[in-house]
Amino acid sequence: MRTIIIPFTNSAFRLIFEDCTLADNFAATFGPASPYEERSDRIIEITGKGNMPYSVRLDGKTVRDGLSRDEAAYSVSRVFGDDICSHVSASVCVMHAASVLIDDTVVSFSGASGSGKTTLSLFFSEYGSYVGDEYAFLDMETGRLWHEQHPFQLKESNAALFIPDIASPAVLAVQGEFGRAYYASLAFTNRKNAKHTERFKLGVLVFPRFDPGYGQTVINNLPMSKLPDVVLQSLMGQAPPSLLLGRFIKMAARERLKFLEIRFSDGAGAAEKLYAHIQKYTGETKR
Amino acid sequence: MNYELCEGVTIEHIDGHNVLVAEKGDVAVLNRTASCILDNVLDDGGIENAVKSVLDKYSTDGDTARADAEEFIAGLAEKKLIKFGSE
Repeated sequence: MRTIIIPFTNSAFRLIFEDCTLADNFAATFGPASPYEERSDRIIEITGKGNMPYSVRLDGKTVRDGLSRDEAAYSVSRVFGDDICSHVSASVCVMHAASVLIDDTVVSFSGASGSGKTTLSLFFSEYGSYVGDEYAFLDMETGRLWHEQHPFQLKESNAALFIPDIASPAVLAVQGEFGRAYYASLAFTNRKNAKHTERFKLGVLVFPRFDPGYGQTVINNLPMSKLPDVVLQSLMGQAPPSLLLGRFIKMAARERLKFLEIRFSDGAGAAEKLYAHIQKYTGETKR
Repeated sequence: MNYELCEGVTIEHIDGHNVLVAEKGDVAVLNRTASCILDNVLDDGGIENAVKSVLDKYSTDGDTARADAEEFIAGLAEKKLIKFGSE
Protein backbone atom coordinates (compact mmCIF):
# COMPACT_ATOMS: atom_id res chain seq x y z
CA MET A 1 0.00 0.00 0.00
CA ARG A 2 1.39 3.42 -0.97
CA THR A 3 0.15 6.88 -0.16
CA ILE A 4 1.06 10.06 -2.00
CA ILE A 5 -0.22 13.56 -1.37
CA ILE A 6 -1.09 15.80 -4.31
CA PRO A 7 -1.51 19.47 -3.47
CA PHE A 8 -3.89 21.43 -5.66
CA THR A 9 -4.74 25.08 -5.46
CA ASN A 10 -7.88 24.59 -3.45
CA SER A 11 -7.58 21.10 -2.04
CA ALA A 12 -5.03 18.43 -1.42
CA PHE A 13 -5.58 14.80 -2.28
CA ARG A 14 -4.32 11.83 -0.38
CA LEU A 15 -4.04 9.01 -2.90
CA ILE A 16 -3.85 5.55 -1.37
CA PHE A 17 -2.72 2.87 -3.81
CA GLU A 18 -2.71 -0.86 -3.64
CA ASP A 19 -0.77 -0.95 -6.92
CA CYS A 20 2.69 0.49 -6.35
CA THR A 21 3.35 0.87 -10.09
CA LEU A 22 0.36 3.14 -10.45
CA ALA A 23 1.41 5.07 -7.34
CA ASP A 24 4.92 5.49 -8.73
CA ASN A 25 3.55 6.84 -11.97
CA PHE A 26 1.28 9.32 -10.25
CA ALA A 27 4.11 10.38 -7.98
CA ALA A 28 6.38 10.86 -10.98
CA THR A 29 3.70 12.89 -12.74
CA PHE A 30 2.89 15.16 -9.84
CA GLY A 31 6.27 15.28 -8.15
CA PRO A 32 7.34 13.86 -4.83
CA ALA A 33 5.11 13.69 -1.80
CA SER A 34 5.04 17.14 -0.37
CA PRO A 35 4.76 18.83 3.01
CA TYR A 36 1.10 19.47 2.23
CA GLU A 37 0.01 16.37 4.08
CA GLU A 38 -1.71 18.32 6.77
CA ARG A 39 -3.80 20.02 4.08
CA SER A 40 -5.09 16.75 2.70
CA ASP A 41 -8.86 16.92 2.72
CA ARG A 42 -9.86 14.43 0.02
CA ILE A 43 -8.99 10.77 0.09
CA ILE A 44 -8.87 8.69 -3.07
CA GLU A 45 -8.35 4.97 -2.68
CA ILE A 46 -7.33 2.91 -5.69
CA THR A 47 -7.42 -0.85 -5.38
CA GLY A 48 -6.51 -3.45 -7.96
CA LYS A 49 -3.26 -4.80 -9.30
CA GLY A 50 -1.83 -5.58 -12.70
CA ASN A 51 -4.58 -6.84 -15.00
CA MET A 52 -7.10 -7.27 -12.19
CA PRO A 53 -10.09 -4.88 -12.20
CA TYR A 54 -9.48 -1.62 -10.36
CA SER A 55 -11.87 0.34 -8.24
CA VAL A 56 -11.69 3.99 -7.25
CA ARG A 57 -13.21 5.34 -4.04
CA LEU A 58 -13.48 8.99 -3.08
CA ASP A 59 -13.88 9.90 0.57
CA GLY A 60 -15.05 6.39 1.30
CA LYS A 61 -17.59 6.16 -1.52
CA THR A 62 -17.09 4.15 -4.69
CA VAL A 63 -16.64 6.34 -7.76
CA ARG A 64 -16.26 3.51 -10.25
CA ASP A 65 -15.20 -0.09 -10.18
CA GLY A 66 -14.38 -2.86 -12.61
CA LEU A 67 -11.89 -0.53 -14.30
CA SER A 68 -8.76 -1.18 -16.29
CA ARG A 69 -5.61 0.50 -15.01
CA ASP A 70 -5.92 3.24 -17.66
CA GLU A 71 -9.53 3.81 -16.74
CA ALA A 72 -8.65 3.99 -13.05
CA ALA A 73 -6.01 6.60 -13.74
CA TYR A 74 -8.44 8.58 -15.87
CA SER A 75 -11.12 8.32 -13.21
CA VAL A 76 -8.73 9.82 -10.68
CA SER A 77 -7.91 12.70 -13.01
CA ARG A 78 -11.66 13.35 -13.37
CA VAL A 79 -11.95 13.61 -9.60
CA PHE A 80 -9.31 16.34 -9.72
CA GLY A 81 -11.27 18.08 -12.47
CA ASP A 82 -14.54 17.97 -10.55
CA ASP A 83 -12.73 19.42 -7.57
CA ILE A 84 -11.46 22.30 -9.68
CA CYS A 85 -14.97 23.10 -10.90
CA SER A 86 -16.36 23.08 -7.38
CA HIS A 87 -14.12 25.96 -6.38
CA VAL A 88 -14.72 28.46 -9.15
CA SER A 89 -16.73 31.60 -8.51
CA ALA A 90 -20.02 32.38 -10.24
CA SER A 91 -18.32 34.70 -12.74
CA VAL A 92 -15.84 32.03 -13.80
CA CYS A 93 -16.48 29.08 -16.04
CA VAL A 94 -14.21 26.15 -16.69
CA MET A 95 -13.76 25.12 -20.30
CA HIS A 96 -12.50 21.78 -21.50
CA ALA A 97 -9.78 23.31 -23.60
CA ALA A 98 -6.08 23.64 -24.37
CA SER A 99 -4.60 27.11 -24.83
CA VAL A 100 -1.69 28.76 -26.58
CA LEU A 101 -0.56 32.34 -26.15
CA ILE A 102 0.14 34.20 -29.41
CA ASP A 103 1.54 37.67 -28.78
CA ASP A 104 -0.78 38.93 -26.06
CA THR A 105 -3.86 36.91 -26.96
CA VAL A 106 -4.86 33.36 -26.15
CA VAL A 107 -6.07 30.92 -28.77
CA SER A 108 -7.99 28.12 -27.07
CA PHE A 109 -8.86 24.76 -28.56
CA SER A 110 -12.02 23.25 -27.20
CA GLY A 111 -13.77 19.99 -27.86
CA ALA A 112 -14.52 16.53 -26.61
CA SER A 113 -11.85 13.94 -26.00
CA GLY A 114 -10.53 12.75 -29.33
CA SER A 115 -11.35 15.95 -31.18
CA GLY A 116 -7.65 16.70 -31.54
CA LYS A 117 -7.46 19.77 -29.33
CA THR A 118 -4.36 18.60 -27.49
CA THR A 119 -2.59 17.48 -30.65
CA LEU A 120 -3.39 20.66 -32.55
CA SER A 121 -2.57 22.93 -29.62
CA LEU A 122 0.81 21.28 -29.17
CA PHE A 123 1.71 21.81 -32.81
CA PHE A 124 0.28 25.32 -32.63
CA SER A 125 2.46 26.10 -29.61
CA GLU A 126 5.41 26.24 -32.01
CA TYR A 127 4.11 29.68 -32.92
CA GLY A 128 3.67 30.93 -29.37
CA SER A 129 3.71 29.75 -25.78
CA TYR A 130 1.82 26.81 -24.39
CA VAL A 131 -0.47 27.92 -21.59
CA GLY A 132 -2.17 24.70 -20.52
CA ASP A 133 -4.49 21.83 -21.28
CA GLU A 134 -7.68 20.23 -20.03
CA TYR A 135 -9.14 22.91 -17.76
CA ALA A 136 -9.15 26.54 -18.85
CA PHE A 137 -10.56 29.02 -16.37
CA LEU A 138 -12.38 31.89 -18.00
CA ASP A 139 -13.50 34.99 -16.14
CA MET A 140 -16.65 35.99 -18.00
CA GLU A 141 -16.58 39.52 -16.63
CA THR A 142 -13.13 40.29 -18.00
CA GLY A 143 -12.71 37.76 -20.82
CA ARG A 144 -9.41 36.70 -19.26
CA LEU A 145 -8.27 33.08 -19.22
CA TRP A 146 -5.79 31.00 -17.27
CA HIS A 147 -4.95 27.37 -16.61
CA GLU A 148 -4.04 25.52 -13.47
CA GLN A 149 -1.79 22.54 -13.29
CA HIS A 150 -3.46 19.33 -14.26
CA PRO A 151 -2.20 16.07 -15.68
CA PHE A 152 -3.52 15.25 -19.07
CA GLN A 153 -3.73 12.13 -21.08
CA LEU A 154 -1.72 11.69 -24.22
CA LYS A 155 -2.91 9.23 -26.77
CA GLU A 156 -0.60 7.12 -28.84
CA SER A 157 -1.31 9.37 -31.80
CA ASN A 158 0.42 12.32 -30.21
CA ALA A 159 2.68 10.65 -27.67
CA ALA A 160 5.55 10.96 -30.12
CA LEU A 161 5.38 14.70 -29.63
CA PHE A 162 6.56 14.15 -26.09
CA ILE A 163 9.63 12.06 -26.79
CA PRO A 164 12.33 14.46 -25.62
CA ASP A 165 14.45 14.21 -28.79
CA ILE A 166 11.73 15.53 -31.02
CA ALA A 167 9.51 17.25 -28.50
CA SER A 168 8.08 20.67 -28.86
CA PRO A 169 10.28 23.08 -26.94
CA ALA A 170 7.20 24.03 -24.96
CA VAL A 171 7.00 20.55 -23.54
CA LEU A 172 9.71 19.79 -21.09
CA ALA A 173 8.91 16.46 -19.58
CA VAL A 174 7.15 13.19 -19.96
CA GLN A 175 6.66 11.60 -16.62
CA GLY A 176 4.64 8.54 -15.97
CA GLU A 177 3.12 5.94 -18.19
CA PHE A 178 -0.16 4.16 -17.78
CA GLY A 179 -0.44 1.28 -20.18
CA ARG A 180 -0.96 2.52 -23.70
CA ALA A 181 -1.59 6.08 -22.71
CA TYR A 182 0.65 8.62 -21.10
CA TYR A 183 -0.06 11.20 -18.47
CA ALA A 184 2.27 14.10 -18.70
CA SER A 185 3.00 16.96 -16.45
CA LEU A 186 3.90 19.94 -18.58
CA ALA A 187 6.31 22.54 -17.36
CA PHE A 188 4.13 25.21 -18.88
CA THR A 189 5.91 28.26 -20.10
CA ASN A 190 3.95 30.38 -17.69
CA ARG A 191 4.85 28.23 -14.77
CA LYS A 192 8.48 28.16 -15.76
CA ASN A 193 8.45 31.92 -15.78
CA ALA A 194 6.58 32.04 -12.48
CA LYS A 195 3.71 33.81 -14.18
CA HIS A 196 1.18 31.02 -13.86
CA THR A 197 -1.33 33.27 -12.18
CA GLU A 198 -1.24 35.69 -15.10
CA ARG A 199 -4.49 35.93 -16.97
CA PHE A 200 -4.57 36.42 -20.69
CA LYS A 201 -7.17 37.86 -22.99
CA LEU A 202 -9.02 35.13 -24.86
CA GLY A 203 -9.13 36.11 -28.53
CA VAL A 204 -9.95 33.03 -30.56
CA LEU A 205 -11.82 29.86 -29.68
CA VAL A 206 -11.15 26.97 -32.06
CA PHE A 207 -13.24 23.82 -32.27
CA PRO A 208 -11.08 21.14 -33.91
CA ARG A 209 -12.17 17.97 -35.58
CA PHE A 210 -9.42 15.45 -36.12
CA ASP A 211 -10.25 13.26 -39.10
CA PRO A 212 -7.37 10.89 -39.96
CA GLY A 213 -8.66 10.07 -43.44
CA TYR A 214 -9.51 13.62 -44.45
CA GLY A 215 -6.19 14.44 -46.09
CA GLN A 216 -6.55 18.22 -45.94
CA THR A 217 -7.15 21.10 -43.58
CA VAL A 218 -10.28 23.20 -43.77
CA ILE A 219 -10.81 26.23 -41.55
CA ASN A 220 -14.16 28.00 -41.33
CA ASN A 221 -15.87 30.51 -39.14
CA LEU A 222 -18.02 28.52 -36.77
CA PRO A 223 -21.63 28.74 -37.96
CA MET A 224 -23.34 30.73 -35.23
CA SER A 225 -26.24 28.30 -35.19
CA LYS A 226 -23.79 25.74 -33.77
CA LEU A 227 -22.47 28.08 -31.10
CA PRO A 228 -24.84 27.26 -28.22
CA ASP A 229 -24.38 23.51 -28.57
CA VAL A 230 -20.60 23.48 -28.92
CA VAL A 231 -20.13 25.94 -26.08
CA LEU A 232 -22.48 24.03 -23.80
CA GLN A 233 -20.47 20.87 -24.45
CA SER A 234 -17.30 22.40 -23.06
CA LEU A 235 -18.47 24.74 -20.28
CA MET A 236 -18.56 23.77 -16.64
CA GLY A 237 -19.06 25.86 -13.55
CA GLN A 238 -21.16 26.64 -10.54
CA ALA A 239 -24.14 28.08 -12.41
CA PRO A 240 -26.60 26.02 -14.47
CA PRO A 241 -25.35 25.43 -18.03
CA SER A 242 -27.91 27.75 -19.62
CA LEU A 243 -26.86 30.63 -17.37
CA LEU A 244 -23.20 29.95 -18.14
CA LEU A 245 -24.01 30.00 -21.84
CA GLY A 246 -25.77 33.36 -21.59
CA ARG A 247 -22.90 34.92 -19.67
CA PHE A 248 -20.40 33.40 -22.07
CA ILE A 249 -22.17 34.85 -25.11
CA LYS A 250 -22.33 38.31 -23.55
CA MET A 251 -18.61 38.12 -22.82
CA ALA A 252 -17.89 36.86 -26.33
CA ALA A 253 -19.80 39.77 -27.86
CA ARG A 254 -18.17 42.35 -25.59
CA GLU A 255 -14.64 40.99 -26.17
CA ARG A 256 -15.25 40.36 -29.88
CA LEU A 257 -14.25 36.75 -29.57
CA LYS A 258 -13.58 34.91 -32.81
CA PHE A 259 -14.92 31.37 -33.29
CA LEU A 260 -13.36 28.95 -35.77
CA GLU A 261 -13.80 25.32 -36.65
CA ILE A 262 -11.03 23.32 -38.21
CA ARG A 263 -11.11 19.86 -39.73
CA PHE A 264 -7.71 18.30 -40.15
CA SER A 265 -5.65 15.15 -40.41
CA ASP A 266 -2.10 16.53 -40.27
CA GLY A 267 -1.43 18.41 -37.03
CA ALA A 268 1.67 20.28 -38.14
CA GLY A 269 0.14 21.41 -41.41
CA ALA A 270 -3.10 22.37 -39.72
CA ALA A 271 -1.28 24.41 -37.09
CA GLU A 272 0.65 26.29 -39.77
CA LYS A 273 -2.50 27.02 -41.73
CA LEU A 274 -4.38 28.06 -38.62
CA TYR A 275 -1.61 30.40 -37.54
CA ALA A 276 -1.65 32.09 -40.96
CA HIS A 277 -5.44 32.33 -40.82
CA ILE A 278 -5.40 33.95 -37.40
CA GLN A 279 -2.58 36.32 -38.30
CA LYS A 280 -4.55 37.46 -41.34
CA TYR A 281 -7.70 37.95 -39.29
CA THR A 282 -5.79 39.80 -36.56
CA GLY A 283 -4.19 42.06 -39.14
CA GLU A 284 -7.55 42.89 -40.68
CA THR A 285 -9.06 43.58 -37.26
CA LYS A 286 -6.22 45.94 -36.30
CA ARG A 287 -6.66 47.86 -39.54
CA MET B 1 -48.48 48.95 -29.41
CA ASN B 2 -45.51 46.94 -30.59
CA TYR B 3 -43.16 44.16 -29.62
CA GLU B 4 -40.32 44.78 -27.20
CA LEU B 5 -37.61 42.75 -25.56
CA CYS B 6 -38.60 41.15 -22.30
CA GLU B 7 -36.86 42.37 -19.18
CA GLY B 8 -33.34 40.98 -18.84
CA VAL B 9 -33.08 40.16 -22.54
CA THR B 10 -30.34 41.73 -24.63
CA ILE B 11 -29.27 41.51 -28.24
CA GLU B 12 -25.60 40.62 -28.55
CA HIS B 13 -23.60 40.85 -31.76
CA ILE B 14 -21.14 38.06 -32.53
CA ASP B 15 -19.38 37.57 -35.85
CA GLY B 16 -22.01 39.57 -37.70
CA HIS B 17 -24.91 37.70 -36.13
CA ASN B 18 -27.46 38.85 -33.59
CA VAL B 19 -27.93 36.64 -30.58
CA LEU B 20 -30.80 37.11 -28.15
CA VAL B 21 -29.69 36.35 -24.62
CA ALA B 22 -31.95 36.20 -21.59
CA GLU B 23 -30.52 36.61 -18.09
CA LYS B 24 -32.13 33.35 -17.09
CA GLY B 25 -30.25 31.56 -19.83
CA ASP B 26 -32.35 31.24 -22.97
CA VAL B 27 -30.37 31.96 -26.10
CA ALA B 28 -31.53 32.41 -29.70
CA VAL B 29 -29.06 32.82 -32.55
CA LEU B 30 -30.65 34.78 -35.36
CA ASN B 31 -29.81 34.37 -39.01
CA ARG B 32 -30.08 37.35 -41.38
CA THR B 33 -33.73 36.82 -42.16
CA ALA B 34 -34.61 36.44 -38.49
CA SER B 35 -32.61 39.56 -37.63
CA CYS B 36 -34.43 41.48 -40.35
CA ILE B 37 -37.82 40.41 -38.98
CA LEU B 38 -36.92 41.18 -35.39
CA ASP B 39 -35.44 44.59 -36.28
CA ASN B 40 -38.72 45.53 -37.93
CA VAL B 41 -41.04 44.37 -35.21
CA LEU B 42 -38.92 46.02 -32.51
CA ASP B 43 -38.79 49.26 -34.53
CA ASP B 44 -42.55 49.51 -34.36
CA GLY B 45 -42.92 48.29 -37.90
CA GLY B 46 -44.96 45.29 -36.91
CA ILE B 47 -45.29 42.04 -38.79
CA GLU B 48 -46.47 43.82 -41.95
CA ASN B 49 -43.28 45.80 -42.31
CA ALA B 50 -41.19 42.78 -41.39
CA VAL B 51 -42.81 40.78 -44.20
CA LYS B 52 -42.31 43.65 -46.62
CA SER B 53 -38.67 43.95 -45.65
CA VAL B 54 -38.10 40.22 -46.09
CA LEU B 55 -39.78 40.33 -49.52
CA ASP B 56 -37.53 43.26 -50.50
CA LYS B 57 -34.40 41.36 -49.58
CA TYR B 58 -35.16 37.72 -50.32
CA SER B 59 -36.89 35.87 -53.10
CA THR B 60 -39.92 34.32 -51.48
CA ASP B 61 -43.67 34.75 -51.74
CA GLY B 62 -45.78 36.85 -49.40
CA ASP B 63 -47.66 33.99 -47.79
CA THR B 64 -44.49 32.10 -46.95
CA ALA B 65 -42.79 35.22 -45.62
CA ARG B 66 -45.77 36.07 -43.44
CA ALA B 67 -46.09 32.52 -42.09
CA ASP B 68 -42.36 32.36 -41.32
CA ALA B 69 -42.38 35.77 -39.63
CA GLU B 70 -45.41 34.96 -37.49
CA GLU B 71 -43.99 31.59 -36.49
CA PHE B 72 -40.63 33.13 -35.62
CA ILE B 73 -42.14 35.93 -33.53
CA ALA B 74 -44.46 33.51 -31.76
CA GLY B 75 -41.48 31.30 -30.95
CA LEU B 76 -39.56 34.19 -29.40
CA ALA B 77 -42.63 35.22 -27.42
CA GLU B 78 -43.09 31.65 -26.20
CA LYS B 79 -39.50 31.63 -24.97
CA LYS B 80 -40.26 34.96 -23.27
CA LEU B 81 -37.53 36.71 -25.20
CA ILE B 82 -39.95 39.31 -26.60
CA LYS B 83 -43.41 40.45 -25.56
CA PHE B 84 -46.20 42.42 -27.13
CA GLY B 85 -46.77 45.92 -25.76
CA SER B 86 -47.34 46.11 -22.02
CA GLU B 87 -47.87 42.37 -21.44
